[in-house]
Amino acid sequence: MEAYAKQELQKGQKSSAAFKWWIGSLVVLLAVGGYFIIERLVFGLETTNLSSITPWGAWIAFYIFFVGLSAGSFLLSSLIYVFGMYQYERIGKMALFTAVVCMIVALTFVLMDLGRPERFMNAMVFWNVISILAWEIHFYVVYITLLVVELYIAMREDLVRLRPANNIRGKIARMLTFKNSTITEETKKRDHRWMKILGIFGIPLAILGVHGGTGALFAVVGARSAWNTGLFPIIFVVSAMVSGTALLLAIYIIKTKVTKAQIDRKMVISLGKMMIAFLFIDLLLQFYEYLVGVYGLEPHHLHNMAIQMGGPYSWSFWGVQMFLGAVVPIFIVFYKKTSENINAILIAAILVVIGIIGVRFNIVVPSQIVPVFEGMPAGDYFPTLNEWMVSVGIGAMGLLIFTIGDRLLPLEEKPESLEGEGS
Amino acid sequence: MEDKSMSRRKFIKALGAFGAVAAVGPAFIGPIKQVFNGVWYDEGHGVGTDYQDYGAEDVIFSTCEQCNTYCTIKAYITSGKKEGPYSTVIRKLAGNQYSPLNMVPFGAIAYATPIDEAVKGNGDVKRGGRGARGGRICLKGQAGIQTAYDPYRVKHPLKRVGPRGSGKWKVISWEEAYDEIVEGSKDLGTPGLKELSAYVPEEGVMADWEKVKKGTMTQAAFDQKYKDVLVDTKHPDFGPKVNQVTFMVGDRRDFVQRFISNSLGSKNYYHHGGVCGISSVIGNVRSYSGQKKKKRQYADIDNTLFLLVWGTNPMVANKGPTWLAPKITNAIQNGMQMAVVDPRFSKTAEKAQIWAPIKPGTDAALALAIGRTIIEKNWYDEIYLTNPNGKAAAQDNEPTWSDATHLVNLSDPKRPKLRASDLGIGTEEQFVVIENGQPVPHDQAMEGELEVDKTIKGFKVKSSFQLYKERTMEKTIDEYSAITTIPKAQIKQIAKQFTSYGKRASILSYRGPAMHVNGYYTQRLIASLNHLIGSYDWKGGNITTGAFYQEFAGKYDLNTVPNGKKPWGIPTGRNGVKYESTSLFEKDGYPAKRPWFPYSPQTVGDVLPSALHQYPYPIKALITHRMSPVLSAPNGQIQEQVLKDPDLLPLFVASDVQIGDSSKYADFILPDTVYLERWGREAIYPNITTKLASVYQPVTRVFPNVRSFENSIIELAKRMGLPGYGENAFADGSSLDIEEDYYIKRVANIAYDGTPVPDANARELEVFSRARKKALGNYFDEQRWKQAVKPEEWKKVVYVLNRGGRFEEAGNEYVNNNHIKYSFGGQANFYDEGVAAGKNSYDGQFFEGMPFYEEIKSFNRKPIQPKQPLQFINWKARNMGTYRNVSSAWLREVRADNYIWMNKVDANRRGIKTGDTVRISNESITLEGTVYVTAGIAPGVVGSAYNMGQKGYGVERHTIDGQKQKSLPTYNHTSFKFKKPMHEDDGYPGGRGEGFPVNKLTELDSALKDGAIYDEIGGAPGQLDMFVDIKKV
Amino acid sequence: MLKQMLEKDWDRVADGMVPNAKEELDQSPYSTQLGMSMADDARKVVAGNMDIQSFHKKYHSSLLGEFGDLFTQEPPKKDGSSTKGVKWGMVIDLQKCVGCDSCTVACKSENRTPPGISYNVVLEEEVGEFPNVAKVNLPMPCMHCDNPPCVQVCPVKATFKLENGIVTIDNDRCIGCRYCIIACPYGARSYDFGESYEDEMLSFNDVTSPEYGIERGERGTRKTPIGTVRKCNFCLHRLERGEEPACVETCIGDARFFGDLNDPNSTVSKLANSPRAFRLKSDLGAGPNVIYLK
Ligand SMILES: Nc1nc2c(c(=O)[nH]1)N[C@H]1C(S)=C(S)[C@@H](COP(=O)(O)OP(=O)(O)OC[C@H]3O[C@@H](n4cnc5c(=O)[nH]c(N)nc54)[C@H](O)[C@@H]3O)O[C@H]1N2
Ligand SMILES: Nc1nc2c(c(=O)[nH]1)N[C@H]1C(S)=C(S)[C@@H](COP(=O)(O)OP(=O)(O)OC[C@H]3O[C@@H](n4cnc5c(=O)[nH]c(N)nc54)[C@H](O)[C@@H]3O)O[C@H]1N2
Ligand code: SF4
Ligand code: SF4
Ligand code: SF4
Ligand code: SF4
Ligand code: SF4
Ligand SMILES: [Mo]
Repeated sequence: MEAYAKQELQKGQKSSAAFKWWIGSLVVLLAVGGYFIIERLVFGLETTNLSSITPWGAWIAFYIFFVGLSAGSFLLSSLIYVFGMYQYERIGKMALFTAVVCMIVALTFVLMDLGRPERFMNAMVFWNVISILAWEIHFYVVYITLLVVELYIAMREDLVRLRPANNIRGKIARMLTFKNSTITEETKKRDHRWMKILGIFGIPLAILGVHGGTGALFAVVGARSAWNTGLFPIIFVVSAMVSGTALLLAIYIIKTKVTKAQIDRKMVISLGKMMIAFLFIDLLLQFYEYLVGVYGLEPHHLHNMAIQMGGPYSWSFWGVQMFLGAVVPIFIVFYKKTSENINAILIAAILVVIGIIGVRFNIVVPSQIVPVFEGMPAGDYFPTLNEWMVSVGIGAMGLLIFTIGDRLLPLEEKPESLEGEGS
Repeated sequence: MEDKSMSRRKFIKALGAFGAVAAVGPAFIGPIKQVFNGVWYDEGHGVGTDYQDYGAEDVIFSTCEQCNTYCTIKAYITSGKKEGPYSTVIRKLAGNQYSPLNMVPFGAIAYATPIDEAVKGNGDVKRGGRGARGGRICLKGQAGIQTAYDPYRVKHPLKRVGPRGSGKWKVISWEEAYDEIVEGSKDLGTPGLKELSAYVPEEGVMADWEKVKKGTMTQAAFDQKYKDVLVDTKHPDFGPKVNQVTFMVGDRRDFVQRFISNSLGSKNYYHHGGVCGISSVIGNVRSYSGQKKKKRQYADIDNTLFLLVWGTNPMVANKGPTWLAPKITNAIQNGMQMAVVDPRFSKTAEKAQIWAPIKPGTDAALALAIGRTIIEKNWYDEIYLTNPNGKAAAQDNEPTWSDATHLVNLSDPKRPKLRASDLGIGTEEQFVVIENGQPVPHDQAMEGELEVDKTIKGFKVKSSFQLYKERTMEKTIDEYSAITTIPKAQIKQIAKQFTSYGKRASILSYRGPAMHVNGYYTQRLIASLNHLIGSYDWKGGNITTGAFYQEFAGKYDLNTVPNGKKPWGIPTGRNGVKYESTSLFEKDGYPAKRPWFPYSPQTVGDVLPSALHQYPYPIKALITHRMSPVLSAPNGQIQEQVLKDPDLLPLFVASDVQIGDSSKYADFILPDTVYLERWGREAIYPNITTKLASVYQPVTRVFPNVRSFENSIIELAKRMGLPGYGENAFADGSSLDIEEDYYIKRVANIAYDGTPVPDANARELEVFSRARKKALGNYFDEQRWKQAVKPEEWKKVVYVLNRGGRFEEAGNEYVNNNHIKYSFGGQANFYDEGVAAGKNSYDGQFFEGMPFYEEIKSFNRKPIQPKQPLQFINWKARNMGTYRNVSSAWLREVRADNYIWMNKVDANRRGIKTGDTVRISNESITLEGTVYVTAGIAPGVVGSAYNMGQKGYGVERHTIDGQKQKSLPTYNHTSFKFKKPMHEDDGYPGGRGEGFPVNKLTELDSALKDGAIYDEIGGAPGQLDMFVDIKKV
Repeated sequence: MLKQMLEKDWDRVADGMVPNAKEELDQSPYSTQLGMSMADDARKVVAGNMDIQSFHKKYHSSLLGEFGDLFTQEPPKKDGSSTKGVKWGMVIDLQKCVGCDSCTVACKSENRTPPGISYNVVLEEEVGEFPNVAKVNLPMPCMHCDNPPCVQVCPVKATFKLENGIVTIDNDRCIGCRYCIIACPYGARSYDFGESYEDEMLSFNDVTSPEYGIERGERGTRKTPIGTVRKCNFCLHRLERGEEPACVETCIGDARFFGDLNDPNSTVSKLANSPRAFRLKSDLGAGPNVIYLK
């Protein structure tokens, strides 16, 4: 697969050395990760530091992180296609595609995490109507379908334009467009309408179903009082927006830098502000979470906070989530000297993404360190090498899919440039 | 079981063939419920009909030996993998439902219940909650399977390679092992048992010795005549050479003792009793006289209204939790009050109304304080105490009486009880009491005077009670309170409660107060408290039963060895010997080189330390059998020194199932069968009011090449030509060639005692054979087993074996309404004239006949001034039986460490928190442990369970035939430790070697070389008199 | 196996998988006659010539003995309502529990759970200061909740309640997501990582417990629960063979009681209704069927 892609890409495009390096390292990472994935599949979850006391770990954290990214990206795309914020149109399709890739990555993490991955189809076949997770799984399927359709429609014009191209991209474009290969004002309108409709469907789906729902997975667990609040799913959605925006921002900047294209500074700065705005809301909500938690005096909840903020992984809370993920980016975006600096904003965006990884980890792990029942052993958890490497592998897989998709599909809003490339 | 589910499936399948049945099937088949039941329910998957059901043919009843309680058990067996070395797999152990020991409070099922029915149970789970297919056993018992199937067991006879303790072994055949043990090993240079076992009867020797003394025989002639048979011709009282062959034995003591005493004729037969509860036993035995020995303080718990639990932990230990714990919890619920005297908050203390956290070793002072209170308030049972004999007692409907009124002759330096003959009013057998102001032989008086202090015919006399009373008054309650740290109010409360329920109160006591240097006196004073209420033999009172069906006599006399020997001489532990009567005393005088123990029958702990100094004479061979002196006897370091040294110990043979902390030094290890693979005989302590006899019998065989120690003894004895084995082994002329010859005869004795049991019917005979064929495969040779008894006895033997013993039905425990049927019926003694006449071997001072509170002292009579700040006690872990359960992962899951309990005050002072690793040390050693900070122990006192810290059982890896043992498995795939002291519920077993061996911390006696401090009367080492310091690592 | 015998399976069986039913019946130790006549009468029921109550009456007792309660229903009442079946429940008297963990080990032995999985734990908590201390020993099996959060969250209905109140896990369906472990407020569930005692307990892998009535043979082969979630099953297989759960049978403090909560005269019902009765974390609304006495 990788080899094929590489070959085709070489044929189709001028591949810079950096690009080769990029692809090469991803392939290597994927291969290394693959080894650990096989190890995990053969030996089961014994290869992890998971236990019956702390049954969920890094993979679940990454899973919700990526679902969050996906939802965030998608919601961002909706701002464009549904709410008509066309100033961001540059990143619209990228956002959709990112959303798809993130879901693929997220679900791969879930697959890795299942004790019986070979039974994953059970999740489709048997449906427990009262299980949020069962609903989630079905939502994910619908959501991914919707994303793909929407992306397709968003790209259709460009695909049609690509049809004549005498390379792999053209081939793919021809394959994907079937007979449906005309662009008229009418089709444009129709496509826009559909985009809007799908977007409108997608918004509640992403908010309620996908990310709110994922938050609800945690929020409904009465046994873990730190999760068990109504605000929890909302925080999930908001932090999804934070991370989605940040990720797209980062991708956009990096991509334009790598391709040495003209950067849309205005958009970047405003996206940066938007990111911080979401971050503020997120922090506000979290603040109330904690406030209510502290006032509630519920021992489990307090214990949970104590562990989050003072336990063995408090570095993740204070260092990653709060300092790197919030304080520094806020400073960058508001400090005069850095607020207009693209590189600084890029750093801010990346930090926000990393911060959200911390957030996810801090959601998943500390709650399982607190004994679920007073007197039972306290949990402990830090990923094993296997877990890290599997994660790296899956991450590499995601990036690879993204890179290849980006190369093969017209994701950039740059119809002009397509002409020249064809021949 | 397999057949069952197979046939069930088949049947249904077949039915299914008639399509119509399928149509109405759902009406019968639960999971296919047609109605929608609600969101929580589902059907059609996840549930089946395989229950692994079993019947009588899958069950064998036997005895548990995970601890020394010896509960009766039921083993459910199932076939294992064909490739396994084992004959069968034990699926599950439970209590024997025929036995009252396992069925509290419901009671055993009727003994006559056919075995099929018994195994099927009564089906009353829904309403009654019990199916009665099995009874209770404790956690250790449940885990017995892991003792048997442990791959680290010794599987073949091993012979040491290289020096002792080098950890290198080679496998030898049984023949080689026996030959080399009997004839000596050339390459190891060990002597053979044969050459070491010279025996000569006492009479001839002593007659000649008299001649030497009188001068009618020269020493040289005597030497010449006896140099090959006596240990030392200068000290003929040491006995025959065979006395240098020493045994330390843990179980199957009857069979083994028969060999040692009657076949070999060695006086050095030691068992674990000497480190178990010996001072308690001696303190009790010497507090009573009667037909039956009263060794222990037990209560008729079901009917007791106040139970004074003194230094024992029946919810966990004693004999045993299976039996005592449910009795106590139910009694409490029915209104019984309980006080627990224990320095720590034990599992029993948790349930008590009163916890008296006494300063360790001061129990005597507390007993005196309670005694004083009772006397001052006149709360004692005066009617009981004034009865001087059985007749008088009977008139008051009292089954027992006391010596309270008997006079003690204080004019005699030996302070014996005054005899009627002394006053010329009767015989030497009669004591004297004052009745109506006149001295009267005790058996002729009806009511004696309690408080007597006078001079009669020149004899200064006091009554026992007077002496006791004076003793209690020696200190004020304030002083007692200061010594014991027990508040006055609590002392009074215990005294009050104890005397408030008439005869329905009792003491339950064992090791805690007794395993101290002052243990004998302490135990005596505790017993004396019970004298004050005289609740012996009363329903709800203090019981002394031990009604066993006869085992060694009846159909077969199993103890007598035709042409057997009589052991004589001085045992190296100097137990049961008065120093003054020995030739060594003539030579050395006072002080003796080491303490002598004239009143104690068992002093296993000092055997090896004495051997280090060859006192009183060197030992030549040691055979250990299910006993580990290194772990369980005081000061393991010293014990080890001797075991290691071939000069001090030329031959060391261990019968063991593991390479243990002691057996690792052996020249030969004979791999014994574990309790689930063999016969045996040990029984629960006599704390039960119905008659019983339990049996051991093999349930499985895990490794093919192991042999029971009995079978080894038979082989060794035959090679040595000893009497009592092979043909004419028993008095009736029958032979003893395999262990069954002995044990099945024992079963016949049991079966025929009193009214014989019924014959097993055809079905039961069939069940018997089938179950054993299934369980034992080739190890079951029915024809051969049958030969052990007469053909007509066999069916009764089977009847008993099928039920795991013989158990008297409940319902007849009481006579005369409220007396215990199997009673003690003797005299309770405040005064011990035997001990009063004895002298300590240090300075020849007389011992005290009236017990007193004695501070912990060393051999030179000086109270010990501890150099360490903390007093260290120890106890039985709830999840480990002595040192033999550590191979059970299930038990190590419950807890694997012997945390050091420490009060917050002590912990804070040292900056220690729960879970901290600490150094625990005294002058001779420093060990590492983990602390548990608790409110359950007094400041200044620390303690831990004694059962951990092994190096054997696979912890140290040995090399066998050049191959290193596999290292022990570890559990918990994560890199985290979830366990915290007292919160170990992560489900992962700890390691076999965790914790520290408590006995390495034993206090050494500064007045002797290489010896622990000892109770010279009771014989206990100061196991609970340790002093340590603890520092954070 | 029976659990999968849905109607269509029966039909399939009937349609030829069993060539000669009579032969099969002959082979089974169960009476051929019974089988034949059941089949006959079943035809009558289907044809409407016999009512289902009479059918039940005729065969109920024979089948009860063989198949146990779980698989043999009471006949439907005339009015169509069914009689109330058994609802298993446990009562644990904390005054009597001596915190010995005999229940824990009995359960290990009975259910042959692997390292890391204990269906029952006993929590110990000390309260007070020297010398006024108390200890709480709290044994905890699965509570077999009325509204079990574990069932609520399971995406695939691998865990659910049986009519008799027992919360089951279908280890053949469970995908091992461990959500139920997260959701159980009582910490009753564990994941089977595949560990074993075999290295220090020969024969451990030979036999596994027929949990929920399903024989899984050797551990780790065939139908293994490894990779799925496990928990206390109220010893369903023991109940079906007329034994109380292993932990109840062995309880050293005589603190555990078991029986039918639907029967007001059962020992458990009486205890469960005593004023001392309480439930753990009752505010969560899970409705535990393990009831404690304080
Ligand atoms: N679980 C378990 N059960 C066992 C055994 C085992 O190893 N484990 N062993 C069996 C054997 S061999 C025996 S002999 C019995 C022994 O049965 P117990 O006599 O009940 O045994 P211990 O636990 O040694 O001692 C009892 C109590 O004495 C307390 N104690 C210590 N020092 C003092 C003191 O100075 N004064 C007082 N008043 N109390 C003190 C200890 O704290 C402990 O709680 O148990 C048998 N049952
Ligand atoms: N400080 C302190 N010391 C104590 C105690 C205490 O509470 N505190 N308790 C004392 C008491 S009550 C007792 S009874 C003793 C017990 O002391 P021991 O009798 O020495 O201990 P056990 O664990 O019964 O057995 C010792 C060894 O026998 C071997 N063995 C195990 N099973 C078998 C078998 O089936 N056959 C054979 N042949 N060998 C086997 C093993 O190597 C085991 O380590 O310890 C005493 N020592
Ligand atoms: S008390 Fe001892 S003998 Fe009885 S079951 Fe427990 S371990 Fe076995
Ligand atoms: S205790 Fe836990 S596992 Fe058991 S039924 Fe309730 S929620 Fe489910
Ligand atoms: S682990 Fe199994 S039983 Fe538990 S929720 Fe997931 S699928 Fe259901
Ligand atoms: S009911 Fe059975 S499965 Fe549940 S804890 Fe008790 S023994 Fe274990
Ligand atoms: S067996 Fe009984 S007494 Fe022991 S811990 Fe379990 S519930 Fe409590
Ligand atoms: Mo003992």
